[in-house]
Formats: sequence, C-alpha cells, structure tokens
Amino acid sequence: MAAALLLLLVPPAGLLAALAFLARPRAAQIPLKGRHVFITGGSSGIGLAMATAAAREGARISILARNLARLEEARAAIQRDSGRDDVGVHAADVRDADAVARALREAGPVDVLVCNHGVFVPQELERQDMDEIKWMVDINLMGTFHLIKAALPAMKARTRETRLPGSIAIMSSQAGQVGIYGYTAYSASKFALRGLGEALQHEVVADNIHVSLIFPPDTETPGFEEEHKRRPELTNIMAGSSGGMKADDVANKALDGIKSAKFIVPCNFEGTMLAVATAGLSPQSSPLMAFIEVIGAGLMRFVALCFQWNWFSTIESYYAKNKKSQ
Amino acid sequence: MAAALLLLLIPPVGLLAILAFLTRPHAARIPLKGRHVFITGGSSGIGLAMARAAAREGARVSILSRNLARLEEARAAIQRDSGRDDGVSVGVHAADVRDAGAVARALEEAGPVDVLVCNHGVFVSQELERQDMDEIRWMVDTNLMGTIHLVKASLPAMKARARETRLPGSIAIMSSQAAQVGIYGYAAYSASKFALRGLGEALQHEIIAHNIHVSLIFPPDTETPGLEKELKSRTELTNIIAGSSGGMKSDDVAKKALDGIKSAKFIVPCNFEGELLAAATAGLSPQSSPFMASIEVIGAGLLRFAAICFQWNWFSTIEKYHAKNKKSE
Repeated sequence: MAAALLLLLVPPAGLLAALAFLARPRAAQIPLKGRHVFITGGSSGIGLAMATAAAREGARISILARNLARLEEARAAIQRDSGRDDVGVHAADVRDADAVARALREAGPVDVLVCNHGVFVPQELERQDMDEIKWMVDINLMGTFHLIKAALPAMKARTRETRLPGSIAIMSSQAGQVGIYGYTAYSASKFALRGLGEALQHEVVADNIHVSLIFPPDTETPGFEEEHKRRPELTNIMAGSSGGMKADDVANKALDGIKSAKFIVPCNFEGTMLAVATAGLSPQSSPLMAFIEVIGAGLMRFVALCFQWNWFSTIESYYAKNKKSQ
Repeated sequence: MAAALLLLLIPPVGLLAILAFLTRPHAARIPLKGRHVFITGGSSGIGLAMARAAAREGARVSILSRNLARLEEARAAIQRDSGRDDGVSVGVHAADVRDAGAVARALEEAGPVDVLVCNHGVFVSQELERQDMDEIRWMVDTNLMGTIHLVKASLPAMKARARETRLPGSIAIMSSQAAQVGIYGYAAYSASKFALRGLGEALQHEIIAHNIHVSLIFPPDTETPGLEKELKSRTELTNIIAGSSGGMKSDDVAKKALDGIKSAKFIVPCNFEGELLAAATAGLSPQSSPFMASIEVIGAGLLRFAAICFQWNWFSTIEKYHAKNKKSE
C-alpha cells in the first residue's frame, strides 16, 4: 500500500525535479531597500500605490506623469506615508521620447523601472476614432519603448557596479491576456507589451536585469472610473464578470512579483488561472509554478473554451434580443 | 479486455462530445469562388502567392502595396497563372497602409470586400537598446496601425456585403511565429505582431454577429524578398536562436493560409511545428473545431513542458554566447 502511494509520487516528483533543472531564467531576488525605483503614471492609481509601498520599503522613488501639480500632491502623500524626503518628480508625456530621456537623466540611474502608465477607452473598433486608437497605442506601447530605451544603458551600468539585479516591470492587464468585445485597441497595445517583454528578457538577462509583466484585473483607480463611463453595454456584461481590486492590493502583488523577479505577475486567484492558461512560451523561473502550469494546462484550456462559449453565447443572446426589440 | 478498452475510450470521447457543444464561434466555410478577395502586400512574397491561388479558385482579386510598377507586374503574373479564360479581374491599388486616407480611397475604388487579407508587414530584427526609434515606429505603424486602418475602412461594406449575400466574410491577418513567442532581437516586431492577436481576439467578438470570421495566420520564416532583407541585418544571436525554426516556401504558406481562411479557423498554423506552437499558445483564444480543441486540451501540459525546454535552450544559448564573447575580449 505504502509502496503504491510512493510510486504515485514518483512522476510528479520527477517532473518537479526536471523543471527545477530546466526553469529559466534562473530565479532571483530584487531588493528595493536603498535602490532607485522609477514609476511612470506614478501620481495616481496603481502607480501612486506602488510608489508609496516601495518608499515604505526603503527605496528612493522617482515618479513621472504629465501633470506637475498632481505629481507634487503625490510626492507629499508618499513622503508623508513613508517618512522619506527624497521623492523625485518628473513631468513629461511618455509619447515624447526626448522628454522621457531628459526625465531619466535628471532622475539618475534606475534600478527598478516600472512602466505603469496607461490609458484605456473601450469601444467597438468600427466606431472608435482613429485618433483615440493612436493615442492608446502611442502612450501604452510607444511610451514604454521610449522609457526602456532611455533607461537601459544606465541600468546595465548600474547592475554591473552594484552587482545587484535590476528590474524592468511593465503594467499590463487581463486585457493583455485575452481580447474581448470592445477592447481591440487596448488589448492590441497590451498584448504588444507581452511580445516586447518576452524578447526583451532574452536581451537583458545577461546584464542581470529581469522583466516582469503585471496583469491586474479591473482596479479601482481614477483611470478605471473614466473607462467605465465609455464601456459598451456588451463589454460591461462580459467584463463585468471579472472581479475588481483595490489599487493598494494590486500594488502589493506587483511589488512582490517584481522582487521575486517573476516574469508573469498575476494579482489574484483568477489572474493566476489566466496566467497559467496563457503561459504560452513565456519563461518561468519558478519550478513550482512551472509544475502547476504543466499539470494545470489542459484543464485551463478547457476552462478557457468554456469562457469563450459563454462570451459568444452572450453576444448571440444580446443581438437576438436587440433585433426583437427593433 | 474489450470492456477495458471501451472504458478507456469514454473520457476522450466524452471530452470530444462536450467540446463539440462548447466550441465557439460555430464552424463555417468561407467560399472564395466569385467573391472579392483584397490582399495587402499583394505584389510580392506570401501576398502575391495568395493572390495567385485565390484567382485560380475563381475569386476576384485586388492587391494593394506601395509600388505601382510592382503591382502591375504582379497583376500580369496573377492573370497569367490563374488558368482562367474569363480574364480574371485583378485590381491594383498603390497606397501606404500607414495613410488612413489612402487606404480608405483604395477600398472605395476596389468595392465591397468579402475576404480582407491584411498580409503586409515589415520586419527588422535588432536588440531593442540598439534599434532606432524611427525603425521601431515604422514597424508598429505599418504592421499594427496599417492593419487597423484597413479593418476600419472595410468593415462597414463587409458587413453590408455579408448581409446581402448571406455568405460569411473573413478578415485574415498575417501574423508570424514571432507573435506566438518573443525572442532575442524581436522586441519591436513581436510587439507589433502580438498586438494583432489581441486585436483579432477582440475583433472576432465584435463582428461574429455580422457573420465575419477572423483568421490569424502564423507562418515560420518564409522565403520571400522581405526575409532576404531581414536576414542580412540579423544579429548572430538571433540567427542561432531563430535559425532553429524551419523555413517554408511562399506558395506553401499561401495554400495553408487560404485553407485556414476558407475553414474560418481563428488560428492558422502553416506547418507541423506551427501546429505545436499554436496549441502551446492557444491561451484563451476561440476554437471552432472540437477536434482541435481536444488536441489543445489533451496536449496542453506536454506542450507547456516543451515550451519550458525551449526557453531553457534559448537562455543557455544566450549564456554561452556572452561567456564566449567575454573570453575573447
């Protein structure tokens, strides 16, 4: 009896052992204390929550956003909540490559770059203004390109000097794991960040820099309030099923993920399941998470198909109902 | 003995039955004969091969690209190769997909489209740190924004057309294996191609009620003029990592692409390796075929394990490369 049980344990234990050998990039811990954390979109929402949490852990914070007044309010709040007096503020629009470069020069070499800024307006592609689509792609995607290109050289020099790992963290979204009704432009911009992140990790691992992609669900932020006003009805029905989180909770999960140098950072249980379902070919440093991904992959794909069944049925019913009432 | 075998068959058969109920969107067939197929990047490479194949199947073909002279050569080739006596109609439209106005004009001239093939694309691999922002912007504007311009400009007429003809339409987007995984040197290109996947998933939700199906095509390296150019500038490390992927001929990719479009498949791989990649990266994307869905569910775990092996191989390659280069300095 005991022999049979032991025998049952051999395959999973063997799998775990194989994954412990295979998992790349190798796991790392990214300290925040005494290091320079640069956060875009840092004057409100998740960015501000992350800045506050990182400051409380002893990091020197720089925040970037467009509005100087809001930046200064944010600085005061962070300094008040953390007891620090060295928060740097930089007013710039991430779409402006030069302004971004200037801000990073002023701030000084970065240890942890958090590309957290983002804008989002859901609407059917056919109806959305091209200008609004461009706006989303420029800020969410091109803005992130600008930041990374401007920060990388100094980040590489920094990891060489300090012999400590650095991090480039990119705020994505569950809309960066699956595209749903109303999210063509936003999902496009967020899916793009994943492709960028996978390739970038290959390019910076030798410089001891780790890439983290953070995937929060709907989070209660000023940005979200704006988005909610414009949501098409069908998007509401479909996305409304996803639970919301508070900015502080997302910030904590995000920072934990960055400190553990996780490539994919989900923020709640549903997010973890989504992460397993969409693991694809992305890297995984943790043998345990890799194990869960391998074992859970089939079930997760089945669940994914159930979700699409539900979404397409919702779309069908919605149109059938609207035709009747016409 | 027979009972035991039958018992073994129940779970997979049961799974297939459940998936036959669950899979969405409903399967469809998209005819090409007598219909209007509009192909961007249609004067060379995969686009030209698709145009020829579609013409041979009896479609009216329109091709769009930047260079009028090349378009006219392409038209001549399509008409010659189509084997049709009725003087197959090939429309040519010179426009840069980055110009929304030009794209809209071209689609107006061409007339309502049944099958829109956003096949155009540009790609230059380089480390993100070293690549010029202008080149990155060029890739994103052409590959992503250009596709958005095309879809927005053609959708209203496509919807009307699907309603009139009561036949399903198709929006096909040429992606790449670089859209299924990002590797060294492909930050900008993978970004632009991953984006098309997010776009495609959401777009399918928005147009299914209008009987239009989205297809994303994922070819490996394909022997085209575009690839020749890209190979010249590939970094050594990208070559080592990407070089492991097999190449295909344009005509073969075109055939797989058209087959996928006609079967209204959401994800269209072009070779066996592509099928494995597609199953590994199925994520939350829709799947119309219960059979493919079963393969995805059953194979998912093994494929994730294989994916982790690939990353182990790639990261080891990167480590060795940098260690070797440090020694030789």
